[in-house]
Amino acid sequence: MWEKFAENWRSVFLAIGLHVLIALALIVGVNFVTDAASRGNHGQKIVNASVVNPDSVSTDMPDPVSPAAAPESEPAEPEPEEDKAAQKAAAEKAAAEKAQAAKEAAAQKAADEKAEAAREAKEAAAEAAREKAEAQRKAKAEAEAKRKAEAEAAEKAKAEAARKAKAKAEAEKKAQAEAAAQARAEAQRKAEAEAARKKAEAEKQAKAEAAREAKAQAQREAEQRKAEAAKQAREEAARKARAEAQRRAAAEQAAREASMREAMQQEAAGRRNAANSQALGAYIQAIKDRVEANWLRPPGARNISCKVRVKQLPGGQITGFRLLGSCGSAAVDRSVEQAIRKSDPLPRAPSDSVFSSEIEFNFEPDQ
Amino acid sequence: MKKTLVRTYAALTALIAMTMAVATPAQAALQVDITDSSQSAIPIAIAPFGNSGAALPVDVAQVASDDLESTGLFDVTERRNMAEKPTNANEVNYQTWRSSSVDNLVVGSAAANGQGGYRITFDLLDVYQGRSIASFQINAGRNELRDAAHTVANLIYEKFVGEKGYFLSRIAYITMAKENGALRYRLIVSDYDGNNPATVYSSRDPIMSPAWSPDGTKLAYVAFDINRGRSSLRVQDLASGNIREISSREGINGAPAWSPDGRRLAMTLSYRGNPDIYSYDLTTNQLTQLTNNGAIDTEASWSPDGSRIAFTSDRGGKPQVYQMRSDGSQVQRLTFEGDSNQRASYSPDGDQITMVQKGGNGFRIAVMDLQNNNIRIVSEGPLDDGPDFAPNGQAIIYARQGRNNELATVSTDGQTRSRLSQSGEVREPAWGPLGY
Repeated sequence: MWEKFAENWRSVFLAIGLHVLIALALIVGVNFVTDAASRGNHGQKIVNASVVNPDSVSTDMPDPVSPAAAPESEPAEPEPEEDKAAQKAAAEKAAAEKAQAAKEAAAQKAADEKAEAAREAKEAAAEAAREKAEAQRKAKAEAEAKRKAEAEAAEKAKAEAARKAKAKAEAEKKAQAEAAAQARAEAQRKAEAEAARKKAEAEKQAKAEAAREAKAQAQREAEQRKAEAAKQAREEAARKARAEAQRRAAAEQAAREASMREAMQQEAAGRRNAANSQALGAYIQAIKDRVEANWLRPPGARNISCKVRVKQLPGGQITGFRLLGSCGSAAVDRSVEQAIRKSDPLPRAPSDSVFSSEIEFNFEPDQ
Repeated sequence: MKKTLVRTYAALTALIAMTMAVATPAQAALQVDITDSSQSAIPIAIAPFGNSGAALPVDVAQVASDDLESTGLFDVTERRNMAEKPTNANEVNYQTWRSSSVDNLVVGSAAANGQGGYRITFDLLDVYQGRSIASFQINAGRNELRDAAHTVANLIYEKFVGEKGYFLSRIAYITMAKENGALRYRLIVSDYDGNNPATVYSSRDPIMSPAWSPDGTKLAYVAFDINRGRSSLRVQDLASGNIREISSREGINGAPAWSPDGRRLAMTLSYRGNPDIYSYDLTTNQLTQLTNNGAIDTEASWSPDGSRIAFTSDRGGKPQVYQMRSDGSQVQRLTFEGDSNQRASYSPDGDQITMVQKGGNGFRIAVMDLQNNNIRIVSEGPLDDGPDFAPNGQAIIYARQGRNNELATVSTDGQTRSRLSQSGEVREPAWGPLGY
């Protein structure tokens, strides 16, 4: 039981809440119905009720059966799925029966209400007559009171007007005096203002004049300064241009001198190099001629290709001979070595700068 | 970080490059290109060989000197111009030889070897290095001193030329001379230098076209019988003298050529009416016709690898040299220069052929490079004939006819020439194998 309550506490509370609400509705409803009953003689409501569709009335009207039916809507027990269809059928049947009952009830009710309405209408007519008489009496009394009040008001207004006229006259006299005084004061004030204005005008004029003068002066000065500045700028530019020209000339001069120096150096170096390379070329040629003259190549030997490293002293004396791989055959190797040996001493180098302690001979006669 | 690394690397590289740039010139050797050589012959002197005891029956040093001299490749110092005659390396005054520009010196001696023969020892000395660059020892029988001398020459030759010497090889040739009022033809076999000639066959009728078997034991040649109006192609064994007749058919039986393996003979036969080249199997006696052409096809020569046969044909109008596969297929013309080209013969390496070219200066010996078809003329003419390569390919022997009939040799490049004088008319030399 508690578990169920715990699981469905919302439903339980909703059910309870609904009960409370229904209970409250019943109480209020009772009061309302009571009120409605007490105010049943409101003609309009009665007229409206007579033309209302009985079907819609059955739903609109508070159902006297609904408090009894309320427990049905309570979702206390979840219905099994399989019973739903049957229940639905039953419910539909019940609904149909209910609708039939409601229809019959409505018809009955409509008849009752019609009788009631007739009765109420009769009552209402009596009431209306009564109220009409009352109203007529009331209106008569009110008109009397109004007449009385209007008379009183007229008298009061007359007195007031007299009082007001007297006050007004006094006020006008006072006002005239005040106005005169005021006019005098105004004239004086005006004169003073005029004087002041004139004075101010004069001062303003003077001031403006002075300002104009000052402005002109400033302008003149500014123009002078501007002219001065322009002059200075011109002079500065001219000076700068002169300096630049001078500098450029100097640079050009320097460049000319430098290039001339360089050219001279190059020429000198070139002469030196030329002399050197000429000397080197001649030296190499001398060595080549010598070795070639001393090389007796084996007849028929083809595809000869080899390198020989030779070490020499400055006098050309050979101190080392190394064949870097065979020239193609032992006979050619022998011929190459003999060519070198036979050339010992090698031609002397024309200068130390072209001498090399190592010579590499490339024997490539077939290239 | 990466940038710094890159910069460091660049700096390092630059440093290395600078170091190398600075260092390289100091280590660079002077570069000298040798592209030419002297055309001079190789200066050499072979001092008389010493002997312990009686004088040698053969002047070994002189025979070897003549061998080297005959090639034209050596400038051999005559004995009378030698300032000293040392017989071993210890006796040599190198400066003396240097001053006379004798680059190379051979010193040696012969002594009895205790078996009736001789032991020959000699040294090849490099005069400029002042030392021996090769020492040799040869044993020779009592009657083999001449061959021993040729062997000395072969060893020296190979040292300088790089190829085996041909001083032990033999040649065959035909002589024609009047004897007792009648013309006599002889087939002669001699040493390469004409020494020790021996008649292999002689006849009143012409003898033609001697050809050495690859092993040097036999000769194929053509002999005529005028009376019977017949020619016969035969193979003769040199040791026994036995003759095997290969073909004596009607018409031409000529121009025999040995296959490199010695099993077949190519020859020209006309028994079918027109001279064509045939191949004859010496083992099975089977004859195969290789050419079948209305023109004359003759003078076959087998390439050293046996795959091709060069021959002469006038199928183009004039005699020219053609080449075909050894089965007779894929015939192609090789020569287009000169009025005619004939008698082709392959070099031992198969890269060249030598032939007789007829041109403005008559008949001259030509050498054709088969790789580029370049032809160079190596003889003077006007009636040169029968060229044949030396077995080492370094020289060509040929016959010169005219006022003086003689055999001549020329180096393959045409640079040097020498003569092997003979008495009488001499024709059709054939150079045999190396002989060792």
